[in-house]
Amino acid sequence: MGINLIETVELASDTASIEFASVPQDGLDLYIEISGRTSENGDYTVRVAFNNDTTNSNYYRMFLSVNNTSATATSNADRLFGGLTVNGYTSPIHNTLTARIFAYTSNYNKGYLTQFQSSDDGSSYRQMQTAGEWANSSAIETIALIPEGNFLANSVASLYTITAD
Amino acid sequence: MEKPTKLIIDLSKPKGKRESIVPLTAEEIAQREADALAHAEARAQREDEEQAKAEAKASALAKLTALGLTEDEALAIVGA
Repeated sequence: MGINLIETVELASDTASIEFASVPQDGLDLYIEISGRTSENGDYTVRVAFNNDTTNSNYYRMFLSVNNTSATATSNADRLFGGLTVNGYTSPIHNTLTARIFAYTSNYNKGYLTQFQSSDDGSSYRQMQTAGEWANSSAIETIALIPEGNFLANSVASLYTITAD
Repeated sequence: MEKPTKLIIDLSKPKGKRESIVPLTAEEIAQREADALAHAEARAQREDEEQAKAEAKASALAKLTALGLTEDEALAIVGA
């Protein structure tokens, strides 16, 4: 199994969306990593749109969130993909969202798992995971990552393919 | 106010020529606003439900202890 960097970009300015277009079709899975923060006019939420499909009812996800005092699980038909720490929060941890999208060229529904860690006070941490599915049989050719507010300048996004060899 | 922009990385092009920054369309801006509103409403509803559940539990504990149960006994009934 190999993991191959397709592209990495660092934002020169605050940006409302990052879109990978014409995704190579020669991988088994895709792996995405975003390190950075989101602006204060939103919250930590990052949404996804595959092939420009923004219809929430075509997506379904379970979201888990846990710290040392509480755990919550919510499910819904929407495009929640994960999150990044909001700028202004005093999180000392690195702020990285990672995601794996399975069998992205297949002709059945596409599943994905994402995870990230955040803190809003610098002393307590919250670990979050999303398991989701996009109900569409088309190969994924475009991936848009859309935060509430903006991704801040200097955030870095990378796309990899995972291959069999 | 500056129009929000998106970064498009066209992977069919050679490295170094892939990135372009374009303004969001009116449709994309409207979608963002609708998503944010739906998210805020869902979160408010979830927080209301959690608050109501916590209040019901506290009320049940108070009533059970008023009947003479210890706090541990009451917690065993309503769940810790």
